[in-house]
Amino acid sequence: MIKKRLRYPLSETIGDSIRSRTERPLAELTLDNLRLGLLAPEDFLIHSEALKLQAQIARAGGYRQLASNLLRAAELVDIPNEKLLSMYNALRPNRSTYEQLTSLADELQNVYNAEETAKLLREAAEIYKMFGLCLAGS
Amino acid sequence: MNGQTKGSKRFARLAQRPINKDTFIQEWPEVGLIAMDSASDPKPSLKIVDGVIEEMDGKARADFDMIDHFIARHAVDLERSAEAMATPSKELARMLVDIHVPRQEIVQLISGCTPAKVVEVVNHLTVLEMMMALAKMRIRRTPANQAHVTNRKEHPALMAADAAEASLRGFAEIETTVKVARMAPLSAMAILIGSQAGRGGVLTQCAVEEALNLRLAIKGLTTYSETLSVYGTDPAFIDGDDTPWSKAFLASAYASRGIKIRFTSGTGSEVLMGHAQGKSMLYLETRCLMVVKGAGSQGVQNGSISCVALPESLPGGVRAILAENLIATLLGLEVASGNDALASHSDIRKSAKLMLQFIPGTDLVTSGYSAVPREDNLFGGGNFDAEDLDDWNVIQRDMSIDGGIHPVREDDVLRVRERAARAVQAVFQELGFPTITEAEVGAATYAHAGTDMPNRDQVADLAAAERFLQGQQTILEVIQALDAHGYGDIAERVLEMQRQRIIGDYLQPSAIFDDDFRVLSAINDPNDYQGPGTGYRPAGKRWQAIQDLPQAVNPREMVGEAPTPIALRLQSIGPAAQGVDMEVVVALGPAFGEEITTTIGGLSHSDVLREVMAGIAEEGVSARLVRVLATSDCAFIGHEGAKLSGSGVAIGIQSKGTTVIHQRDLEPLNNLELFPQAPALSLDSYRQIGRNAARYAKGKATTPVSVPVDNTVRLRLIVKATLMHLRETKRVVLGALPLELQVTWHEEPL
Repeated sequence: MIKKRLRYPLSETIGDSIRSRTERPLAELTLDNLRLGLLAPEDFLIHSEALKLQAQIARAGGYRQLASNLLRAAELVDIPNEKLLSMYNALRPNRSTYEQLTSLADELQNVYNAEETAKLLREAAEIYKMFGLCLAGS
Repeated sequence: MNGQTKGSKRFARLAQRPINKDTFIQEWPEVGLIAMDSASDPKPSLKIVDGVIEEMDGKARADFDMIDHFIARHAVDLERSAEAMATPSKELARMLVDIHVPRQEIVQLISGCTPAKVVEVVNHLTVLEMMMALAKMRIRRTPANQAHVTNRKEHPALMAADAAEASLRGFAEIETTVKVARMAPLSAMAILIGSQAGRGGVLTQCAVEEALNLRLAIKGLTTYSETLSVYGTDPAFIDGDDTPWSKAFLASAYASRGIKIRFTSGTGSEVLMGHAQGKSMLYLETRCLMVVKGAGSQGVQNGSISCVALPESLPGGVRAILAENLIATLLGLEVASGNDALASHSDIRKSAKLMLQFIPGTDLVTSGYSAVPREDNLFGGGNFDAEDLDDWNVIQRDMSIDGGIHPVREDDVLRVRERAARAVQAVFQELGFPTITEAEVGAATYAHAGTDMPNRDQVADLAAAERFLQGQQTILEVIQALDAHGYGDIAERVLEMQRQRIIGDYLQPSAIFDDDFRVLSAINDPNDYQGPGTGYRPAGKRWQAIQDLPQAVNPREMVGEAPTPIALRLQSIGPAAQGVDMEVVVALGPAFGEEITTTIGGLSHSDVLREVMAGIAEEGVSARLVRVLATSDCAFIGHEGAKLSGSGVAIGIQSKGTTVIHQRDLEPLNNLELFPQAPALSLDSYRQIGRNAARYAKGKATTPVSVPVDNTVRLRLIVKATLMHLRETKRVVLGALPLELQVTWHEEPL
C-alpha cells in the first residue's frame, strides 16, 4: 500500500516491493539469475506503478509538469519499442495528416488506455492544423 | 580584430594576443544579434478568462504562435499568476538575492510568470546578483560535473580507458558522440563499461539523432539522454524537425523505459538558424526554457552550448548566458550549465566566464568537460580539456569550491584505465566483435591522445556495431561477457544501472548517483542555501579530496632536510668586540653555514663567504666575521654588524642569501645597498658587494652593484624562502649578543 507521504528514494524505502513490468521483483534481478539464464531484457523495463509513484513524488515536490510527464510515461510502458518510435515520428512536423494524428490519439486511448497522452496528441493535432504542420488530408 | 595597426608597437603586440583572435560585433537588434533586452522584446502581460490565457506578453490568443500555445497551456501556473504578475519585477529581482526568501517561494511565484515577465525580472540583476541568485536557486544542493569522452579514431579501448579515468576523477556523467553515426553502439558500450570500471554510478549517454538515441537507450547501452533540443521561435523549432508536442512525447517515451532525459537549448541558436524574429537571445531562450518545463523535462543543458561564441561576440553576452542558467533554475529545472564548447581563444576570458557558474555552483558545472585532448574532442573542441585538469583542481582548492572533480594519483589512473580496456577487450571477444589486441590495451592504458593508439579496421568495427544494433543482443549479453571473463564487479555495476531503470528514482529532478548507487536529487538533496552558514560547501572528506593535490608537498619535511655538507667551519670564539680599526664586519644570520649551508639560489655558503671576503680584500680592507643570534631579519643583522664595525660599515647576510650593506648611523631599516632577491645574486655579485662595502668604509665614491631583475623569483621561491626563514628564525636567541667567529676553509666538504 502507498503511504500518505511517499518516502524517497524508493530504492531505500520500498525497494523490496518494486517489480519490473514483467512482475519480477527487484530482488530477483541479480547477476546470479542472469548467469542462470533466467532474465530477459523485458525484465529491466519499468512498471507503470513505479512511474506513478515517481509522479506522485514529483508532484509533492512541486514539479507538476514532470509529474504529468511521468504519468504519460506510465501509460506508454506497454507500447512496443517500434510502435513507440513510429508514434514519435508521426508527431514530428509534416509527417501526418490531421486525421492520422487524431486516430493515433484514439488508438492510444482505446488500445493502451493512455488518456493523458491521447490528450496531448489531440492538442498537437489541433495546433498542427492551425499552423499548417499537418500533411494534406487524404 | 586582426586589422593593420598604425605603427604603435603596443597596439601591434595587443593585436597578436589570443583575445584578438575572438570576433566582436556591435548589436544589430533587427535580426536578433542582441544578447538581452531588445527594444522589440515584448512587455509582460497576462489576461486569463475562464481559466484560459487570452493574452500573454502583449499578444492576443488569436495571434499566438505555436510556442505561445504550448507555453500558455503547459508552462504557466494559472493559480500563481495573479500574484506573480502583480508583483513588480524589481521586487521579484530583489527576492532572488534576498537570503531571507527561500528558494521554494521564488519557484512558486515564477511558475505563474510569462516569459517576458521572467526576462524583465532577470534584466534587473547584475552578474554578481545573478551569481548570488544561482547559488540559492540551483535545485540540487551538491554540485557535480559532466565529462565528454571521444577520440578521433573512435577507438573503443581508448574510449573505455578515458571514461574510466573520467569517472575516477569524479565526473557524475559522461557523454560521448560519434564521427560516424553507425559507430554509436560500440562507443556507447565502451564508455558505459569504462565508466563503471572507474567507479559505480556514473551516468552515460551518446549524442546522436533522436530515434537512434532512443534505440541505444532501449538496448541498455546508455543510461540517460540530453539531445532533446528545443528552440525559441516556430520556424527554428520546425527546422529542428520537432515541435514542443513531439518533444514532450519523446520525453515520456524515454521515461516509459526508465531513462533519464534532459533537454538542450541555449542563446543564439535561433539567430544562427536565421529565425530570431528580431528578439533578444535571452527572451527566445526563456521561451525555450518554458517549453522545456511545459514538456515535463526534469532539466536542461543550457548556457548557449555550441553557439557560445555568438552571444560572446556581443555586448553583455556572457551576462546573458549566466541569466539563462539562472532562469532554468527559477523554473525548477536541473541545469547543466554550458562551459563545454570552445568559447574563446583567450584562457583569461574562458576562465573569467567559467567563474560565473563555477563559484555559485550548478547541478553540472559544465555540460561536458572535455576529459580528452582537444584534438580528440568530437563535440567541436572543448572549452576546457584534459590538459586543463590540474588547473581546474587547483582553482577548486584555491577557492574551497566543489567543481565536481578531484585530484587523482597516476597509479590509480593507470590501474582503472587498464582494467577498462581489458574489460572491453573481453566483451569484444565474447560477442564476436573485431579483436582488441594486447598492444591496443597497453596503448590505451598509457595513452594521452588518439594518436598514441594503433589504427583499427573501422569497416569491421562499423559492421559489428550495425550487427549489434539490428540483432537481438542487448546490454545483458555484455554483462554476461564481463562476468565470464573475471570482471564481476564491473558486471554488477553495469547491471545496477539497468536495475535502477525499474526503480525510477533517477527520473526525479537533477538525479545523479554516488559510488554506491545512492541517488542524489533535488528531492532528497534539495538546495537549502539561505545565506552564510547554510547550503553546500565542501567539508570533511570531500574537502580533503579536493585539496589533496599530488604535487603538494609537506612543508614540515622541507624544513627538516639535513644541510648539505660544505668546506667551511665557523667557530665562535666569544662575544664580538667593538671594532676600532678600518674594517668591514661581515655579520651572518643565526643558521648561516650550520643549520643552513646553501642560499636559496643554490650557492654554497663557503663560496659566498669566500667571495665577499675576497671583494673586501681587493680594496685593501680587512674583514671580521660575527654571528648575530638575536635576530633573523636581514636589516637588523646588517645593522648589528655595523654597530660593531670599526669603520661603521658592515655586510649582513641571511642564510637564504639575502644581503645588505649597512652603516652604523643609518636607521636599521634604511641601508647603503640592499639585495632582496637572493636567487638573482651570483658569486660575482657577492664579490662586488664585498668590494663596495670596503669602498664605503674608506669613504670612496661607489657605484651600486647592478643585479639582474627576475620578476618570477617571488612567485617561484616564496614558499622556499618562507621555510628557510622559519628554519633560521628557530635559531634566534632573543637578547643574545653577537659572537666573534673564526673561519677555517677546508679542501673537501665536511
